[in-house]
Amino acid sequence: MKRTIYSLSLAFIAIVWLVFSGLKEASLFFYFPIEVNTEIKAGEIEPQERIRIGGFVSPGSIETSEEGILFTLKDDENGLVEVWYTGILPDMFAEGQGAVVEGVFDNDIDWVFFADAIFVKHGEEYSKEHLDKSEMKEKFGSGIPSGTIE
Amino acid sequence: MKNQSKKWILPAWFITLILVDFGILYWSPPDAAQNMGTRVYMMYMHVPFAWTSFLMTVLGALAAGIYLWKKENDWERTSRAIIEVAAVSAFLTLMTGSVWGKITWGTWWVWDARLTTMLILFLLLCAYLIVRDMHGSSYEGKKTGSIIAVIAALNVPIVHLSVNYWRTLHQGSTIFRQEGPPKIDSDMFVILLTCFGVVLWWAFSCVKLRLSGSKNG
Repeated sequence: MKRTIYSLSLAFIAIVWLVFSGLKEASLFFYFPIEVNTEIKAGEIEPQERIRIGGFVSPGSIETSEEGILFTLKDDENGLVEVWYTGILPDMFAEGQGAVVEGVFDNDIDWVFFADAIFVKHGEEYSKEHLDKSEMKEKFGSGIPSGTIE
Repeated sequence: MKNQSKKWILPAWFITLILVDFGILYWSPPDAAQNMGTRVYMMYMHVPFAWTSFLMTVLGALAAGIYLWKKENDWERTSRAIIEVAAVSAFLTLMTGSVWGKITWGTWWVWDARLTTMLILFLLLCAYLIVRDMHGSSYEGKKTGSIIAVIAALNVPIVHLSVNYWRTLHQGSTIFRQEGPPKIDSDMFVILLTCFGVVLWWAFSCVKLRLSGSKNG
């Protein structure tokens, strides 16, 4: 019985350590735009280093061209990142919608972010009526509305 | 007479599932809070299987724990039947989640904290099944399996809290949250609970059928 408890605790500690260390990279799945600048200055992000940045697609910032699209990713604290993307957009990609982009800054870091993957990030609110930010706060206490972020 | 009624459990459940599916499509409002529209219907399968996998893992681990304590084979058989259902539920959670991810996020998989920890839980449940299969009736095999079941159950809170503790692509908790009411319309919530009831019914039916059939196994 004692040996069982002992080996069980050992196994549990091993699993937890494995999970936490393995998840260290996954734990920060993306930077917020406001963090990107500080991280670049601190030397945490280097040119050509693959990172992910997550925020909202700034309304009115989407510029489509033949080669691809250029848009601005922003967050609640007014951090901004310009993103250039040439692939196929996810269905739900839209202005005001959450998005996580994955790619690199060029050697000319701090300029445009070259994304090769875009994931739409949605919140945890479900409602049959479209709610804007204040309505969502009233109904659910908080939330990430899509469509408009005002 | 008793055996006859057992035969009807799974077909009855299957018919209920079909009816519930049509019910979802007919009654359930498409989501407009996040422009998800009809993509939200995946939630009605994904969330119940996720909850079921967590619940079954914990119940199976409880039974396994009692087996480790009392060493009575009946508890071991019960825990094995429950963990089998937990493994299938976890697998279906990952599958339905993957489809939901593709149609909303735009990708079948990402290595974020929620998906990774859920995969680890599924792999632990698979490890249990493999160990029990390899060491059919030996005490060592039953003991090892039971320990794995307990470890899997300890993993469940990690999976659940992963979206709150770490920054993930997967959205945060809608219903089981630290503070505030569930962030879901009440009619959608009712449909979700109905689907959860159907999946739970399936889960417990499977366990019952498994236990009645494996008396000698």
